[in-house]
Amino acid sequence: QTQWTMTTTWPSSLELIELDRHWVELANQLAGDELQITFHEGGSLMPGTQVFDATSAGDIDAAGDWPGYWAGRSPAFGPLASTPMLFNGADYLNWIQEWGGFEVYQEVYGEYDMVYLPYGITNNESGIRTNEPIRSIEDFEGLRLRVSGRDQGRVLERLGAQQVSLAGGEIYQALERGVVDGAEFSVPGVDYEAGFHEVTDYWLTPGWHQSASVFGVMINRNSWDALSEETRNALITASEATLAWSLAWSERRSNEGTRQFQEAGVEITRLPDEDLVELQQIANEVIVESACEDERIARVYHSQVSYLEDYAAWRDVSKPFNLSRSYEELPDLEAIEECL
Amino acid sequence: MSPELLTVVMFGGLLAGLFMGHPLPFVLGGVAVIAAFLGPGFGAFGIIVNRIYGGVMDNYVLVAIPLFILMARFLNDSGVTDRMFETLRLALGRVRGGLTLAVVVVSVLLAATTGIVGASITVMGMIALRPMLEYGYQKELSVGTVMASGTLGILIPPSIMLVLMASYSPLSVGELFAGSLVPGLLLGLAYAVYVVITCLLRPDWGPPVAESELQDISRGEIAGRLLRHVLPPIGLILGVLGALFTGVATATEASAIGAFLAFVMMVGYGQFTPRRFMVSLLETGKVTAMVLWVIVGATAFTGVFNIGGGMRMVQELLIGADLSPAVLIFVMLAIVFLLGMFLDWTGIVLLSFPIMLPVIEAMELDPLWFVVMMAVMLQTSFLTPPFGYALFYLKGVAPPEVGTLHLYRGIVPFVLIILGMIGLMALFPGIVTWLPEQLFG
Amino acid sequence: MHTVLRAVDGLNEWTGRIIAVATVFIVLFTIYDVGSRALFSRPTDWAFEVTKQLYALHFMMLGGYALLHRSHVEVDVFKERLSARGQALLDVLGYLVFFLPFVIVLLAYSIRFASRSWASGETTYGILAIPVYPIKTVICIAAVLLALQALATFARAVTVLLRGEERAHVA
Ligand code: NA
Ligand code: NA
Repeated sequence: QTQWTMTTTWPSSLELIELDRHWVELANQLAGDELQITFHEGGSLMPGTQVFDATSAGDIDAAGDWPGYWAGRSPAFGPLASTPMLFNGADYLNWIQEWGGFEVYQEVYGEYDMVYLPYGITNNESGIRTNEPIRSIEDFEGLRLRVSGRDQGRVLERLGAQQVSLAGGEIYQALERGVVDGAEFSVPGVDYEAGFHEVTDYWLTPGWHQSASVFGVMINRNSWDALSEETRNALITASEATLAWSLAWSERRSNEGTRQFQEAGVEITRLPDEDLVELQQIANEVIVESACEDERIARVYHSQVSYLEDYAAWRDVSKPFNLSRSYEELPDLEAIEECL
Repeated sequence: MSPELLTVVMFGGLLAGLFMGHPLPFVLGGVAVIAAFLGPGFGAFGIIVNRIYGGVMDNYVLVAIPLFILMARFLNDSGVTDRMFETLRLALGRVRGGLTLAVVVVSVLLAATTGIVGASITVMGMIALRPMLEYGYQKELSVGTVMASGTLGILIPPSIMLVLMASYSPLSVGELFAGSLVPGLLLGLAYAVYVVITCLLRPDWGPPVAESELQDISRGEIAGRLLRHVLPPIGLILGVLGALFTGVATATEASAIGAFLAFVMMVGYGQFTPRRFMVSLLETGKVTAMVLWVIVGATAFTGVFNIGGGMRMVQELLIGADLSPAVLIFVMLAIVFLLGMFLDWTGIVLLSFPIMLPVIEAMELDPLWFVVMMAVMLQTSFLTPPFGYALFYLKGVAPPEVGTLHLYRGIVPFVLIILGMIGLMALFPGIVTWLPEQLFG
Repeated sequence: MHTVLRAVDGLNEWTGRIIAVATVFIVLFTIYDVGSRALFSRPTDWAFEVTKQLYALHFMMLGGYALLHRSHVEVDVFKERLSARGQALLDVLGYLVFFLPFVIVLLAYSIRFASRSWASGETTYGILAIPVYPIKTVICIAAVLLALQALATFARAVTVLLRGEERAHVA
């Protein structure tokens, strides 16, 4: 029996660790004859920021992650993790399983000697939590906001706001002391656990900055190659089962979290539809702009936008019962193609 | 290798290396590498480097450590400490045990301007111990006061120990500073009360300063010196803690402001020379490297101990013993006390936090309360033989008539006061939690 | 032999004197950052990362300097009761058993660690992409500085052990 050491970016205090635990449990059940995975909560073996490097080097066999944390290695990890104003959860599921997304993950992680099994999708993130209400995109002017992601930072820049980088653990205090004017962190359930209702009065929706997110496990290539075909398939099956479960689980938790925020007296504001259209245009431009700066990110966006164009045939016909949303306009696919 | 054997090998190796007098960072790191080789294997070697980079180097909170040390050096190297002591010696001269009382007061003030324990004790040992012995103060009382009060530097904020504790716990530096302020000041007060009562009961242990010496100097003159030499450091303290507690600045920013203001004071007292400035920087470099390399070694040690299953075993032992929270806290603090006989605070914090904080979390106890009790308990790590760093610092500068036994006997009452204070904090958690609640709600 | 030892001492002494100045820049950058936030409510976007890297550079590179000046935490209550040769023997054993394995692993694995970062041109993860590979390389340099100084201490201890000379102390 092979022994694997696995950890994750999430400490046990963050609910997202449930995604990792769910997969490990399933994988150990399905592949237990050949493989036993020992799971260590985030931060116990090494700081969460280091799990990519340790898995890539083979110091550990596997680690759960959110790909966006590795944007310092390659900007391609950004859209593998989440997109501004583009994919929702159903899009990620479609793209990963039927429109070639899975292979894109392998291509990007493969550069670093790793295999990637996506096993978590959370749909729309909460949005931005502030002490002064934001009611339109004009209100962004001059704000200092903790929002993660490079492309998200560029959208903020065009709105006249400043992006601030803060680790998850520092947000609460930064909000409490006015070091930032507002912050986004995660989905409502996770945000509530982090206590943001104690330090903010307003919550701007929808979470345009992160329309959906993907989580998964990085596996060192040598560890992966050493497994039998049967065991590898068992791990993939476990990841697909976890993927489906994660959508339902996170939606239920988001719903509970939203009720908790409402009960705590937080006022939920919403951007007007015409502002969302304008935001979509800005995001589309930013996506093309960042694709043309680096071919690695261009390949990911190209695959994602191609899927959206292709899927439009049925998606728009089945409206309003469509699984994805209808787009007035998509990022310019030809412009992205020219940058490949 | 079983977790049990790993635990024995690692802690046995640690003790052996310590007794051999090898530098602690390399004992910790060496034991980690050997244990990784015998147990978890080569993957652990990579993890050691990952932990050193991700946990110690890439850590914004710890940036405050060199800056608080620099602030302390600027003050010390510009003679602020000497002048504070001289002023308070005269101000408290007529009181019985006045010199020891002056030592406590100056040490508390130094502690509140960062207080690098080694620096505080050596300086007080050099400037205060000789006059005390000359006036016929009891040796044990004198050395005990210098060591115990000097150790307050690590407890009363700003404190580099609290910065480290915040970085390795879910607590913020601000919360820990606020939580430790009242216990630290109470402990200083308890030392002062002990000194005064002792000298009332045994007048020959702490005679007042000779009238002849005090007649040369008027009360007005003493007041003037208090304004010039004691007020500015207090202003600095209020500035740094104020900036932090009001949320104007983060701990790291407050430490930079403090270092800058201490530099301004160096210039203001006319003590600035390029040479003295460079000495401050070099001494800061030495102390910073000393503190942080222990953390480097300790993070290697705990990493291997964790991968090898030792951490989990000890945790399960603690939780599985099915003890009541009170007994469990008693056991954990007793472990900290015992570790303090052998290790310095950096090593203890890094070794015990990953084991004990999850236990506190599992029992749903207040981590702030526990961590501050632990911070108070770590005062004893400087004082208890065989490895008490306060003992070494003072031995290095004390006159030859002060023997090791004087030092050992001297710390006994103070260690008892510390243990009593922890008992009080256990019974009345408000001592810890009141100020943070006022400040942060 | 003597010249080599002196050269090693000199290397770490000068490294110490140059690197010690890093704290001044940490203070200045941080104060500039706080000032521009307080006065113009526009903090810099670089101070956070730059001060963090300077801090890491400072304490890591000073490991060898601290060893030269015997500033690392150590307990010599027992050692100091031994003869010069007894002390030298403990030093030799300590460096062989503890220091050597540690510094070998630190050096070998930090080289791998840093070269992975160079290979991917790694930068910080925020919007301001500052290169990370130089500061990761600092671990390798720090390990070399530390190893050289330890070698000097070791050589001096061996000399004492063989010739029974007074402990050669460096200040
Ligand atoms: Na202090
Ligand atoms: Na001790």
